[in-house]
Amino acid sequence: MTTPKKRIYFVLGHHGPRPDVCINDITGKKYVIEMKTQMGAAHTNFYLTHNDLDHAYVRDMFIDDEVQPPPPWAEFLLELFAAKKTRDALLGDYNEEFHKNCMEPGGVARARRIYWAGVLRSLTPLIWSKVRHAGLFGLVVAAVRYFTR
Amino acid sequence: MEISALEQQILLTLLRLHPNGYGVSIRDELAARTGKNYSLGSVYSALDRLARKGFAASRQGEATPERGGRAKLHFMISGEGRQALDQSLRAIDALCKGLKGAEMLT
Repeated sequence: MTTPKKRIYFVLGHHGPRPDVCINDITGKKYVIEMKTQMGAAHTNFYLTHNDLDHAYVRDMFIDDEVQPPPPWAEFLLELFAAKKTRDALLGDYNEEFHKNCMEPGGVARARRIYWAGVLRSLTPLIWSKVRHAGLFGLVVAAVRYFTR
Repeated sequence: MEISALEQQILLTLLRLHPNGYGVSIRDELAARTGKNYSLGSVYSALDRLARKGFAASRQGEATPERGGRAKLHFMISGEGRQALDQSLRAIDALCKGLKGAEMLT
């Protein structure tokens, strides 16, 4: 049986633990730790004991459930209306922001709200841009192509 | 070729962020310098128009797990873009010339 995992995001000070430690904590539960240093470098998936956490200089910490993907319907709308050439970059940018917001107080729920708000604000310029270049008929053709791919 | 106010601001931002300007950094720089909070969709639509006019070029950057494995697209101003920007800024300078401070504020 697999141990339930939680993801702990913490922002380290200068004297954080080594990223390669791998020990169970005293309750026997394993936590997936995503470490973000002040320099912005990220290391993932290592385990710490409470003891280690006592010794670590943790500046800030947020606990959340397993990492959630961005809202799929919002992603779908972006995929549908973004220009083909910049679609991946746009989705990647939204993803990057979503993960950054997940680590802030308010967690995944707030990050999802921000994601939806951003996507809804983006739809008008994206649709308008598509209509201008491909025409309304082109937009319908692109949608049909998307659904039949 | 004409450029809109947003396109002009984006070209100036590309100069500031050269050579690493990408969607999020361009939008954040615009917000910090102009106080306008554009959506990423608006920024990408404008970048798309600039690329079609030949005023901006792009190169693919690194893909990270935080980005869902999707690569960044870094944008740079092209030679033609630089000319168009200079022309547009000169036009604004010419329009401002001779106006007194109080008139410019209203």
